[in-house]
Amino acid sequence: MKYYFLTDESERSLAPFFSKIMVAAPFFCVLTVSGFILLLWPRQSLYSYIGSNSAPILFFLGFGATHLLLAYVSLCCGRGELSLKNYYSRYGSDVSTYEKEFDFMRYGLVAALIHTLILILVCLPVLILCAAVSCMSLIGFIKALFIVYTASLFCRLAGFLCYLFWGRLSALGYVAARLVMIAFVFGTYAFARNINPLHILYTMNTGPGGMGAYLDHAYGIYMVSVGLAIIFLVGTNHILVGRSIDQEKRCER
Amino acid sequence: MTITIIQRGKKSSAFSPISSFPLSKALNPMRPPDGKLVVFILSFLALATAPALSYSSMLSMEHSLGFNGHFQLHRWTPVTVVMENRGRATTGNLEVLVTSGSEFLQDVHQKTYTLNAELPHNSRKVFAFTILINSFSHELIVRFRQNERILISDSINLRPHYNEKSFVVVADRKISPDFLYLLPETLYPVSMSPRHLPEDWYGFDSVQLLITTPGTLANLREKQFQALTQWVSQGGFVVVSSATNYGSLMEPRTRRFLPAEVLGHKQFVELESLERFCNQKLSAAAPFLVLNARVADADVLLEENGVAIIAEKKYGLGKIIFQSLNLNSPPFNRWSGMRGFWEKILSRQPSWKSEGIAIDNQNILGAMMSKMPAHFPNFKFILLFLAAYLFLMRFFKKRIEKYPAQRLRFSLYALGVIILFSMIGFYVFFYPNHRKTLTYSSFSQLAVTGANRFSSGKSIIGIYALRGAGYDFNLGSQSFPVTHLLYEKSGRKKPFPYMVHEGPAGQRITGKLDRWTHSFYMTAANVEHPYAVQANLDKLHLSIIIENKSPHHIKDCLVYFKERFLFLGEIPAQSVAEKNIKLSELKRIEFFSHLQADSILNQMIANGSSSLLRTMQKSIMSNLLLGIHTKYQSKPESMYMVGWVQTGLLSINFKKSALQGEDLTLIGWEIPVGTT
Repeated sequence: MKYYFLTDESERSLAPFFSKIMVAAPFFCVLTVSGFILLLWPRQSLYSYIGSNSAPILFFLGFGATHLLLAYVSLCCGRGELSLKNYYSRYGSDVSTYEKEFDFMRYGLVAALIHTLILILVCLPVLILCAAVSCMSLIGFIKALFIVYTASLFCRLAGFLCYLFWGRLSALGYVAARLVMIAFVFGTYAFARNINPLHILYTMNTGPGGMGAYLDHAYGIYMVSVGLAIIFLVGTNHILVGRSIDQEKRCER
Repeated sequence: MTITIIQRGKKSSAFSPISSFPLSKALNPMRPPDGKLVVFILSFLALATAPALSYSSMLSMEHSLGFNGHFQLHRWTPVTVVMENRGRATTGNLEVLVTSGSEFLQDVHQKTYTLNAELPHNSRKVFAFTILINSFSHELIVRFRQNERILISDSINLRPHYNEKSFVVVADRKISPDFLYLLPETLYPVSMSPRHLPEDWYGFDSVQLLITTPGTLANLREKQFQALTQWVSQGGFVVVSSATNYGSLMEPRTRRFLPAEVLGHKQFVELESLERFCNQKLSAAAPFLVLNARVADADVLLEENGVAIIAEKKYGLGKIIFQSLNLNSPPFNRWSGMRGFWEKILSRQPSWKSEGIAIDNQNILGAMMSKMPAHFPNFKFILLFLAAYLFLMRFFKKRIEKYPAQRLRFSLYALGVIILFSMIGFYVFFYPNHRKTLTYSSFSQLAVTGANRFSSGKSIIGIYALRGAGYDFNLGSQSFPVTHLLYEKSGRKKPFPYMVHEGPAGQRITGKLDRWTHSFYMTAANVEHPYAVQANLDKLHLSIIIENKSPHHIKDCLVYFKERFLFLGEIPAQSVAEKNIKLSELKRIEFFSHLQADSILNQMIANGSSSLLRTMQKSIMSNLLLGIHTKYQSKPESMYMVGWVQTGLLSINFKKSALQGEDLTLIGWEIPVGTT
């Protein structure tokens, strides 16, 4: 993998690290989450919560908001929406991207992993505040980071899959990517709560804690399910990118 | 089970894929089950369940509730369990489960009293519990549990056993049932086997009078004897009735409790002195023997021909009455003046009361909770933290955008800022509360009367959980009557489950709390204290001598005298302080009115003290001052003093020693003012 591929600001890269919009995206994420937690900062004192046997849900709100923002940003990055100079004026003239031209395992996946990590890192100080207010355990906090990370990675890979199927400019791809995210983030609450990241974050915040066998169970199910989904997406993307590379080679010949 | 298999065989359709396997024959609907196979399965099941069955058949359990099966609601009562093991040695937990609350109010909850029981082969052991029963509508469960397996269990229907009156307990095996009918009607008379007497002092909670003999005292188990002496020292009332055989009075253990010198026997035909005592003399057709004994440090209430018939000895806050008459022998047991005699005896029960000024528990709980040792991060710091972080992130964003050639360098700077702010966030905001998974605070109130070294104390312990956690604490080597308290504002109708463990090392209270919850426990006991106060009034001065033998200062001392409050300040640890107040100065102080409460409070707060103290003063001081004024304004011969000590009345030891918490004790003295 070459560093240049990650930093090329042309439309040939789906998510160039240093493009203006890509630098602005995490900043606006952290700005939004900061504003959100300042707005929802507990008005009551800590003992009032203890006295009423209820937990402040800032952890859920902060992590939930971060999860939604990062998942959406990742989805857009996966589909390459953020690298287009003018999304609506470019119908019908999409350019080939590095992600399609180079082995997915060596380029697309690594870029997705690093970029998702950077997005989370930028929000980390704010997330620490959320965890501090809700008095989460360190393990709980790390688990929540994993949830946000895996959910964002899932959306990133799902977005990339939509890109591979329909390209960057397809309305169908645009809608399909968002439907996938809505199904994952909200739809799973209706039919499979244990793989719903928001539900798990909420349970982590308000559940009994320390003795939460259910929570550990749900977290396990979530990690296995989302892990399997990520492996599936990685495999599918790898195959599709491979086919695309083969096709290009055949065309060149 | 046999019938089920045969019926299924008859009714089901004809298909069996595993007919070659013997078990399948029994399940094969085409063929009736093989009788041998059914016997085999039953034998197998019998063998499989044999260990559990064998345990239960080799263990047997007898239990005795309260005082001969009677108990008073809302009072601590003894439960004695006798376990017999005829099988191999076994250990487990003997548990008594008390269920309280009502289904209608949805506050049914269970409290478990437990102790570790070791039952060697062919053993018979006695285990004693002291429990609090608040409701008779639920059964009391007594069970022996080994890990998760219950080996033997029994339940007691409480409805026929409860009683509304306090008890007069006769702990003497030889007593005739008629005797009980002659005891005062205001109490419920009960005769019981001495082996079922409580092993904890508060097991006598519902007992107003205990009648016993030196023989019974000598035969009590050590723990029972300790419990009895402790109960008497804390205000209990016991009558020891002698027998002609006075050997038990000579036992060293009995002598420590009742130091009597036996001078022999004396013969009487009648006891005229009893007429003075209870308006009826005791006379008999034949002469009878009366034990001639002298009890050290006792007041002789009734004497006849140099023989002390009734002697009264103070024992701590309680009293022991020694009477030389034998309960079970004529003429005393046939005496018609018996009822009057016992009523007169009962009228001599210790009158000591030390109630102090009542403070609403809910007020105390609220104040304790508001100063729990954990807080949210300060919002201003959070604002500053976020503003600084966002400013720096924006700065580097602009730099990255502006200087493409140096964007990697600026990215690394930004990463450094992220790491720095993450570390600050972790150590300043996250870590402090992370260490406080479980915290506690305690508040005690000590009500001292006169020069008594014993006084009634009440302690409330609050445990607060930020994350789900278990707790385990004891209150020293002694056992105390520990109950839970509910904080009304929490809306919770029942406590989180907890257990009271009795063991050789003392009593332990264990429980589990969910995250962001709390539990309060309360205990009350008469305790010995290291404080003494004397007050004297002459024509010019009011002098107060305060002796503080404790290793803690008494802070913010305030005295109420002649409808005025005046500050005494701080009494240093292990010191004797003498305060002389000129009466002319005292008269210059305004009479107390409710309007003054706030100004007194403000003065106290201005003196400066730690957080729990200050919060508690803010929360309860106004009501306390008004309470003192209401109670003592009509008692010019008494003075009331309050002071604060930043330590607990009882030593609360948590198993997790690093638990953060704060203790506070409010001491209130009722001091009779002497005049010269």
